Amino acid sequence: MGNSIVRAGKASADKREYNDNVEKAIQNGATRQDATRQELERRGVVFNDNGQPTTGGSSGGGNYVGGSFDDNGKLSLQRFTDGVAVGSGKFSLGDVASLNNLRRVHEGILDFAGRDLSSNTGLLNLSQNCYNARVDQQAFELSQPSQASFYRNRRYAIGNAAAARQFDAIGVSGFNVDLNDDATRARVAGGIAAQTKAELTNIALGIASLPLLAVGGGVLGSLAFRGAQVGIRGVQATSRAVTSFTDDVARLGTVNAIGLRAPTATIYGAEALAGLSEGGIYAASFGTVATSTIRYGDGIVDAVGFGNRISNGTTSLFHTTTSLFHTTTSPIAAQSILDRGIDPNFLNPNSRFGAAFYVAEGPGTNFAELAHDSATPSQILRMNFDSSKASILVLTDPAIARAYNYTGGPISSLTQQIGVDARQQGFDVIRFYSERDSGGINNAVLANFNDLLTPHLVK
Amino acid sequence: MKLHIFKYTCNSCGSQFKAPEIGPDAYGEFLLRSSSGSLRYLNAMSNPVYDEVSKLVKTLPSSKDKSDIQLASIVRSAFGIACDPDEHGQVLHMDAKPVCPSCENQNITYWEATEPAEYVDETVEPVTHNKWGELSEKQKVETLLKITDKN
Repeated sequence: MGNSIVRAGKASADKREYNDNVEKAIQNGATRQDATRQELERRGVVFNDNGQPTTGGSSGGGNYVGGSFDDNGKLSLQRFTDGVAVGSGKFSLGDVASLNNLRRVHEGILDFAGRDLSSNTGLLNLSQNCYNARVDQQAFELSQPSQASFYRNRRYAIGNAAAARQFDAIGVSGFNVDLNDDATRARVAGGIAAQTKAELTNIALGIASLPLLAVGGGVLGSLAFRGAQVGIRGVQATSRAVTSFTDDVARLGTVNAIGLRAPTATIYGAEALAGLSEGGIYAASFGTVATSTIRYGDGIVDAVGFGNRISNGTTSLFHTTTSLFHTTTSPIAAQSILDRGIDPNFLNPNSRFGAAFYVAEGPGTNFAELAHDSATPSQILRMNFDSSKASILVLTDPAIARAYNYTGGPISSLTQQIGVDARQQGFDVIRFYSERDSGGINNAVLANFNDLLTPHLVK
Repeated sequence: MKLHIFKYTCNSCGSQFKAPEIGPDAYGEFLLRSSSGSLRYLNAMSNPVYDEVSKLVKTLPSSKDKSDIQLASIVRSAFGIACDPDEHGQVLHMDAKPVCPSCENQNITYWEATEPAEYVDETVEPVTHNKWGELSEKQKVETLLKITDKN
């Protein structure tokens, strides 16, 4: 209690001094931004010029600057070539790696502002960004299942309507594709890129024009996208033969992706997109702007990907790693997977989609499957799943399931043939509902096992 | 061991019958079948010959540029030759379907797991590799070459 009072008194004095000095500088002809910067510099803050302007999109995220403390506890911030930094409302914290650093930066800002941000919009925004970053950094530092749960809960706690309002409010301005519309999905599933392109072009009242997008050896053409909130620069090259259109769009900017992943019958369904989207609200509200959204169902809005970290003009998808679970029926199997990775020689051709590695999206689904098969669980393996590397056939989407004549039911030669077909079509993963755990979802990993999955022993 | 019962439809005579399979949750465990209907069990993770065959298959000229998935398929189709034949002298196969009890063919057109699931507790002899063990490295490679070329 006593400490709080002392601190508040000191903070109040600091704030008065800070404000007085800023106002004096303004009276002497400085802009408020310059006055703020000068006062912060006088207090030991180091501004590092980042060589980029705050305006224009050419920087590919040039508004995204960092703050950190050095070993001596000195706060170091970055500023743009036009001198704008704190107070611009454009400041955000992108490169503050650890929760501890975030906390220190946040505390530092609060101290500088006399722990009262009400009169300083810029610092208030910065503090809010810090707060958001801290909250999300906390999530980063959780275990993968907890992290997934964190974002999922955060997204769904506010409800769909509120999520939609949030997206509207922050001006995510790509176009939306209703993936509840079977015809839309069917067009994409059929790989009718021309229609898709036309749709993109018609709906997106082009402001930015992207270079040719190579997709699976083909070319979608120059697509006009609306509302590029960040400059389109630094398109990340991919060495994969089948380029993920969804991911590329997400990397490129703000277009709402529809999930085309390759010219031939490859689709991302709404649910898969939702699976990538758990941090969407975070990304948008945090000020990370390379957001792609999708709207489906009754006002449900999700981001399909966004730039989590923008540096050197490139962005990367956020939250593409999640946890899946595999429960073995013998300790030897678990040890083999941990020691040697997933060995294709050990995969069971009698499984639902043939020889594949099966992972559930929750351990409960594993148990339900094993219980049905009268098998005894031995070890639970948590698998980090990097969905950014995967081409996923989403059979949890009814329209896609229909296209593949998949209706669930018992394992059969037909379900196993789907596995053969999917692999030939370039899919790495089949996502499908569990037959034994209502609402539970399984994934059959068909290829690239050890690129997509990293095992950890849980129990 | 507990085996999962599947239903099969014979492509030759159209008859339907049931036969056991290894459970869908198994990893590294397989059943091998012969044309006389014999079954053998393989725990590939603890079977050194399986590992040996896997490595030898990778060295075959025909394995060049094959993916891990394709190589695994080759191993499954070739491994039976490294196992001793069944009691009738018939070769065992990892990827063989059961023998139709009506026409004795292994030509299956459709199969599905029983639903609700049916199981059978059955003792299945493990595979043995006595003859394979007598072969030299060169003979093993030649044997695999013959099999993979045929496939």
